[in-house]
Amino acid sequence: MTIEVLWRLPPSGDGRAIRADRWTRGDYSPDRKLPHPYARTGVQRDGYTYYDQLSQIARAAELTGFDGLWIPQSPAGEEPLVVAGSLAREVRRLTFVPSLRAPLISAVYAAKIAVSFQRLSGGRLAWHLATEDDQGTRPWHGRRWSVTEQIARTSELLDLARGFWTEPPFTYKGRYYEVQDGGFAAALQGEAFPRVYLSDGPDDALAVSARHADVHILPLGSVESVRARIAEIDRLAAAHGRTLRYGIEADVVARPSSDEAWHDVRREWQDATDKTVPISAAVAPVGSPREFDDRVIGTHLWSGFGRVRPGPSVGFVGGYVDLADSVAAYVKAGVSTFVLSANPHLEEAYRIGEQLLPLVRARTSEVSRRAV
Amino acid sequence: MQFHWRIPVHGDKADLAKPTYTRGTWGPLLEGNQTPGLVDGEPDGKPYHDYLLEVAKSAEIAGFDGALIPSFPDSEDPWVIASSVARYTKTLRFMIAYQPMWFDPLYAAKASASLQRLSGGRLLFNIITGGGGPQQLWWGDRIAHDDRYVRTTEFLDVFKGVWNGASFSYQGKFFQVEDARLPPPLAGQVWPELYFVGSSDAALAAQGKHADYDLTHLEPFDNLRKKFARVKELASKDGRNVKPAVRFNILARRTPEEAWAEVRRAWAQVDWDAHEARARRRGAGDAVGSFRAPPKRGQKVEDLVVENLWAGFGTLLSQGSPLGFVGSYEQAAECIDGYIRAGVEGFILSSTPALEEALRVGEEVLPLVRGATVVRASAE
Repeated sequence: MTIEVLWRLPPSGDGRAIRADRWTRGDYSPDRKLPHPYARTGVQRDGYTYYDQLSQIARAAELTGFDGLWIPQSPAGEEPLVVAGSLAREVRRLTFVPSLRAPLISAVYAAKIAVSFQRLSGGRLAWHLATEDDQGTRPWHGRRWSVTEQIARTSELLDLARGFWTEPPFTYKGRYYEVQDGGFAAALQGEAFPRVYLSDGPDDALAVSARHADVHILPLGSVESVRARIAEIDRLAAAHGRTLRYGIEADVVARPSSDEAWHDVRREWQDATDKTVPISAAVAPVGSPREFDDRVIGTHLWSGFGRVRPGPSVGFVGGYVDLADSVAAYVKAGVSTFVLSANPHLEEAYRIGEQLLPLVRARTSEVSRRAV
Repeated sequence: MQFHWRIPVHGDKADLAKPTYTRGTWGPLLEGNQTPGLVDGEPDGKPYHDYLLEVAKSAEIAGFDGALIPSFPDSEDPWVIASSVARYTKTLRFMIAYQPMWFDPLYAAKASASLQRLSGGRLLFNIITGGGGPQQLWWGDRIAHDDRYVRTTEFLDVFKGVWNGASFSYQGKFFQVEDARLPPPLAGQVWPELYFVGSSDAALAAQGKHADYDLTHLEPFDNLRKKFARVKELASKDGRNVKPAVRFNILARRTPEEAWAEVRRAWAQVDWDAHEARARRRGAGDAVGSFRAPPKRGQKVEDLVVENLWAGFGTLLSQGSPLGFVGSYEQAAECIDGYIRAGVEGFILSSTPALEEALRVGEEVLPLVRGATVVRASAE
């Protein structure tokens, strides 16, 4: 099976440091009262906005051979659908995977936006329907939807949108969404339904994945834990006659050698002293070298990323060859989608795309051939 | 004074006299079509969206302030178009047609703030509340007419409340939020001006609270004046000033004879079977203020003249208002000046084909409009 590798677009700023309040790209840092001199803010001072930075990152991913762009939600960040729409004509090959949240959008309208995007882009839209686990003490949207309700809404949204798209005239009455005689006019028909990416979660989330996911995103853990989780979900999907693809989402600190990689990430960690802004009130201040070591959970896995910036906690650290071997091990365990990120995302798209991806593709085509 | 050009979101024609749409996927795919076109008898895969970007750029170059991007069940979607138009143009504002139930108000605020940051503050909205009936159920919306306007008002209460970042709580019939707000740096963007559509009492009451502009199709002049007065009266109850805006198709040529010749040439090509089928399909809704019944087979061009306007644009598949203007450039400018004198401060113009006519109206008609350069002496 061919693997796909997506590159993350950073929705709320970027820079070389691990610490967000030191970022010079974008004006999103909560501590910063005035925009950094180099932050592109949308004020028409020099004509540039953060979207120009995102455009460069997207083009870098396209030039260096990634398969798509992962566009996550963030409370203070640019809205993924707007980002995807703005870049759709600037990259011609990559798939766009914006994050949507079922409580915030009408099911019919999500389908309507999607069909326009498919027409405009030549079928390059996918959906990542996300559930907010930790809504913090003050969610920006002013509501508290439980995880259960979010998953239920996601399930209905997908039931309705898929029926609307593929079985017109479509009538549906759920608890959260309904439609009567829905479906696209002839002029809009003929487009592929967006591929659906869903994240791991409790049993009801797995049930939705079994019915709807094209790709199920797993948390990055040991190869054994990933293999076990895949087996579990495969059983659920088989009951619906479906086969899923599996993905993992991770930061990747890749250097010519593993020593250099660990050195660099340790130095960034030391830089992120106890003055680092906690991601939420629940997270204690970070900083000790011992904590760094406590978070080394595999030869090339470190779980400290989530302590210093929003996003997945666990990521890869290592030399290009070592990491290519690591990735191949996950491919052998059944993972075929990798959502990677590293800051700064522009330069690292070039590094990962040019240095790591060729090694990964060489090994995984070997893996695919052996598996046949 | 604002002049906007309508983006043809469900098809266009290379020539007004074509009986079907030849730009886009809303008519049969024939030789000479574009986006998509035919190459060696096969569709060339070019997306209609690329044409819409060119229409937007033409409107910008020709001097329009902005572009209306409408939204229908069978049209392209405005948010997708707006996001890429923002990257493709420098100064053109873009007006997204929007029904409140499509997004949660906080999500709408966030996406709108993103668009403002992307474009340097060029977003506006045309707030539409829907025609009810089967089309409303197609969108998945069962709420009845007057309640839809309550929902519109509540939606805008919340949207406005969170826009500048202050903590906002609200307990309404349709929306309940606690401590909601746009976080920095999204908060505090340029406020998107709101055009508002609706003629019923419920609509006008909702408008008074939030609208910057009341947008109406053309009607006989007296009807318009009465509507403008009513809008002003209701808005002043809330201490607000809602500016009248009108939308119409405009077919202007160097002389009136050339303009009417163009209309006659197109009228001779109308496919009356298709026209009647469309009229049957339209079905019933509960909106107030749809203009007049569709023209009938056998009617002549002259039969459809109303004051200095003409009511046949819909029959020619020109999108937007059926009642519009036909005449010379000078006459068109005088017509616009007449509305300006009556208090109109916003115009949404359209014509077929949208790209070429944007350039023509922008270059030949707008410079003749005297009222466009008049500084309005009266205060709010």
